[in-house]
Amino acid sequence: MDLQHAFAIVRKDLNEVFSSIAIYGPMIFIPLFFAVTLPLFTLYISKYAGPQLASKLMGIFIGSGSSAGTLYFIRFFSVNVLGPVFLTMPIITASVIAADSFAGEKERKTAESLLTTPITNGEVLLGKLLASFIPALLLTLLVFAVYGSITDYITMNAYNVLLFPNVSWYLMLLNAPFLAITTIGLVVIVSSKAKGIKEAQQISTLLILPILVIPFASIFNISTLNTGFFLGMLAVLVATSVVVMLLGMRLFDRENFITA
Amino acid sequence: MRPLSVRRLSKRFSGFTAVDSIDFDVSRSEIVVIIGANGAGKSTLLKSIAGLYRPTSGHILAFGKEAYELNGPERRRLSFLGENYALYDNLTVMENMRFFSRLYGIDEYAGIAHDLLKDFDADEYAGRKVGELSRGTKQKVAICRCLLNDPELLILDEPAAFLDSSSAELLYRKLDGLARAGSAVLYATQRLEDLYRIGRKMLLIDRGRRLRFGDIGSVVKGIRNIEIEVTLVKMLDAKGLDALSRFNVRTSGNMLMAHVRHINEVPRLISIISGLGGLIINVNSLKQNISEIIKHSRVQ
Repeated sequence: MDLQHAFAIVRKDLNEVFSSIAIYGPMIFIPLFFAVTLPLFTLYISKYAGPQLASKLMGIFIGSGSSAGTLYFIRFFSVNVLGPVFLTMPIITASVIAADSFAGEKERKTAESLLTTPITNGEVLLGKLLASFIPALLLTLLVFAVYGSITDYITMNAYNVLLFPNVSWYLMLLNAPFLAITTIGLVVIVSSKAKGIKEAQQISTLLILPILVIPFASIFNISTLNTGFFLGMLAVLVATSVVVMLLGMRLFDRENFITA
Repeated sequence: MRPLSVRRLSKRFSGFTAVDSIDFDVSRSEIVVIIGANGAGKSTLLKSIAGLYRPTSGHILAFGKEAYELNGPERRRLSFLGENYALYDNLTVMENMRFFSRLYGIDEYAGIAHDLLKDFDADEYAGRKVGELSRGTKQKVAICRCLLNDPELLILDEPAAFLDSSSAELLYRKLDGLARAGSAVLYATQRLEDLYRIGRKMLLIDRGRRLRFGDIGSVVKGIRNIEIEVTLVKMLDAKGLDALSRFNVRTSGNMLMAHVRHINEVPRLISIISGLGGLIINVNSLKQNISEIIKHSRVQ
């Protein structure tokens, strides 16, 4: 495998994605907007209804106006509700870039010139995997860092407590790369049959929905987002990402890619 | 070793036969023009040769190896330009050149790319995004892209389709130069002017099947009902046109269109016009319909 070929793909794909603000703007600025506003929103709710919500959500009794209740609510809301919401970041970012990268080559008819060059299928896949994976992961880290820093700033000022980083936070971040790889693998599989970018992007909803169930499972006490939960999730994602990528590599065929 | 040998090649897509048992060879320094009407199977044939389609049956040997199985370094020796210009619209012309050069392992690409762009009068667009260029300029850049690696086997599908006549002439000259240097060129077209201008050999295909393969002259010799365009300095007078009545002449400005029944009559037509005092600036390429060639070849 010639890594220079794979890096040429990475550079080309990233150049394409970041050549127009219309493509990368929404992908970067919308999550950052939420990373900034959601901690403020959390603080606002917690100030006015934190202890009551904490009592209802976690079945514990905390006196009205108690700062412990407010803090408990912030911790619960930040980790159990918003954490999983931000875990959709690697899925969305990876699916947008990977769909543009794989199905986009087909839609814009550039695959013909690409696949007749000396590049191998493995080099194409590696290059496109990295081109989607690197920005997805960096953006996820950035959003988690912004969100965590603002939350910490608020809780430090108000309660002299730092919520982040914590074990759940690290475990969630550990899941992010595998969520991105699974997404990219699914996009590769779908792209071998899909006619265009939009079709290929739809696949991300398959992964986003289960992630968005997590906060509700937590709120309704169906599941507890503890270390065991995140490690279990990590094990499932590692296995899924390996299976999906292997399947994607197996299905990636020059003729299918051009003709489907 | 021959750059290309195609043996009993067939390509079917879910019940439809696009290419049906085609045989031909291309040697070094040969320019073979593949000619056929829309849907004849030209593009499928070329994509198969470029290694994009796996043959349903038969073989395509590029430099002695199956085209679909060529590995990376072996594919450095060929280049393909399909019906689409297939460049990245969001990248500049030079970014496209850099990307493809990297894949071909060309380190000092800038000089080569600029020289090629200059050859096609497109160097001024080097810093522009491909998406902002006219279709004709995109086509010129696409042609430059597939010449970057100085291919030994060049596969082109209707490359002159969006080019003006002067750019097409630049392309013909470039291909002549490549062939003289030893490269083999496969050139699919529906434009008969391409065939007569650059081809030495032609492969005529119809509904996926080979109708004729050989020297262009031998195929063209038997063609009937040909339209010839003759441009004159000054149009002949009515008496002169009367003398040409057997050729069913029509005129438009200083251009005279005449029908000849057989290619052998062309020199006679020219000599009559000259004899009538007509000063000929240009005799245009044969304008018979491609279906005439196909019809003639089917009869044979």
